[in-house]
Amino acid sequence: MIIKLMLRGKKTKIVALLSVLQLGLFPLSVVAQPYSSSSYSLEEARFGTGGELDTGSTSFQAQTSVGNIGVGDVSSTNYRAIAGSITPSEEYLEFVVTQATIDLGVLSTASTAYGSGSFYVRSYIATGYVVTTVSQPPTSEGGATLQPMASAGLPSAGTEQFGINLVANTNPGTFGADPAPQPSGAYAYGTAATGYDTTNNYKYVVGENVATSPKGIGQTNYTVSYIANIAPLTEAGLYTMDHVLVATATF
Amino acid sequence: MPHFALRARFSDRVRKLGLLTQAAVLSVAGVAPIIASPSVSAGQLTDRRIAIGSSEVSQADVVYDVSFDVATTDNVAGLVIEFCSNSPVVNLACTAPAGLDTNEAGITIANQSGVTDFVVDAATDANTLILTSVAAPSISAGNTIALDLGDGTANDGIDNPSGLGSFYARIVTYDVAAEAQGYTSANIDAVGAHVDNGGIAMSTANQLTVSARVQEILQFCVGTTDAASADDCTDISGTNIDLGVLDSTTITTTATNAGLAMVRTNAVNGVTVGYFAEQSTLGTNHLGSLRVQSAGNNCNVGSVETDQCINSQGTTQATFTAGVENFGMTANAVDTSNGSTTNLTRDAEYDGNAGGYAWDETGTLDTIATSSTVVDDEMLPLQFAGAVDITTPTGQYSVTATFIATATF
Repeated sequence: MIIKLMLRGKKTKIVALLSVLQLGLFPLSVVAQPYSSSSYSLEEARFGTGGELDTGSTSFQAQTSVGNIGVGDVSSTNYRAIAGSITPSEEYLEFVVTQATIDLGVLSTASTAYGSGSFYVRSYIATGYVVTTVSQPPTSEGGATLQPMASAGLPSAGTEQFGINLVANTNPGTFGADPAPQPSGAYAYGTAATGYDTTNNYKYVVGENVATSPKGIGQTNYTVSYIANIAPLTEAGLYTMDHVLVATATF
Repeated sequence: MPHFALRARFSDRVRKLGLLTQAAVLSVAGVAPIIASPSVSAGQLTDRRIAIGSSEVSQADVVYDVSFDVATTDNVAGLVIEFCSNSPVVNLACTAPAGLDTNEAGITIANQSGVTDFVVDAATDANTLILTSVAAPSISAGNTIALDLGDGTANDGIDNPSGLGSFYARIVTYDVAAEAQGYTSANIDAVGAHVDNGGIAMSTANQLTVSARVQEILQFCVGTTDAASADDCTDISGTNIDLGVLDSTTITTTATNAGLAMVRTNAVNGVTVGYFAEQSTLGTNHLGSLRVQSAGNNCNVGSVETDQCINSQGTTQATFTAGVENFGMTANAVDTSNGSTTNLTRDAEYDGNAGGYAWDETGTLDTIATSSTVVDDEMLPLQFAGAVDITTPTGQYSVTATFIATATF
């Protein structure tokens, strides 16, 4: 259609030539948003109306968005798509501790101490993420360490134990919470990892994953439940643990 | 008319030629960017991640475990890992994360797979690691390259950023080492075209601080009788030990467990059990010896066997000789039958192994047993021995000892 118009006047020929030049001079806009299959990939694209990935001139730059009919992540074994007005292609990982102080008080052989902390993980366009615990169990000034629970189990007063899980519990008290995808499970997929996903069962092994997400999009809020027990001769002292968790996303 | 017909045919040919020319130009213009753009031949690294050893802000010498699958079958002679605080996207200016340091002078590349001879290139700086491989093996698409940045020892790892939150890595592979060495943030193909690239996001975070307190425990008792019911200090009673009548022809000893000292503590650094001889307020000299407790008992200085103070063995154990004044104590064993630990160790001068006894009359605390960790109701059975000379005056001899257990928490 453009070619026919060009043949009908000098002005239209100029327009056509400019169009050709534009194609040649600004080719990157074509390849910056590749599509994907087993032989090629599409990282970011815009279909239809409702948003603009990158609008700009010498004096402004903007992304625009209007109401979404459907947003979120859909996938099968053969494809995956993230819908929304704007779905930027940059890798993203946000890992924030939101409740950082857990005081278990004075430990006793008669009862189990417990408490909880919280964090959230938000990632984008990752194929998944894991949260790993890398810290040693609570350690006293003198170097004594509360015995970590090597396998998931119930708390037992009078037996030295330290364990955690990432689910809601009723033993030794009602505390903790299940992982909470935000705003719902349709948008985020984080779960407690095996060994840390059973109510009232606790475990602590340095280096293990405590939370996982099979898809690396969206935000999931996590609550870490801690329990501690001592034996009659558990070494005295102030036990502390700077619990370092590491979120690792795979893109 | 023919003239006009000729013009028409000529014009038609010209028009067709123009159409073909413009169609060709359009085709070339359409294909040109695909041919000319280097990014088309490059692929995106997949399954890429960097597992950081710690998310703690400013943590020094953290091992960064890097892993990715290559997208394009090619030689891998160079690898660039650039850390940025602003974006994981290549060919953009990179802002180095504050505080992040690759420790380029000391960092090693450990646990390599896929490419196994990566070394840190001199072009590496505080936030850009440039690794080169002499072998430059060909890695097929889909295969994994993995390595650890550092081993976690001093100056052999990455110093984490000083700020909380997200930061990024840009990973770029090259088939020629010089191309990696020529890497710049804003133009990753400054020297030559890269092979694959990909971005990764990481994050530092606060720690969850867990605290708990275990109260100190020290239970210590001395006595002469063990009821052996509760297997703890509640079983122990009595305070007096009678050596009986001392005779210059023999060495008099008590039962091996005439005295008992039991201790229990959760002190992480253990406990020390000792005693000191109470200094008599009556008389003079040898105030902590086995002596007659009377106001007029002014014993002689030194080892005299004619006064009413029986000489003490001192702090070095020795066997006694009948007819030679001496007084001492020993612990022949440690009774561990009451508790769950075997941590208490007798002092070398009170272990009775040489059949000897010791007694410090000076009033100074002398150690008879120690542990380096917790002790659960371990008990020292104490035996006393006395010997007198034929010249030792008669009388009621006695001494009081105070035992002390000191726990170190």
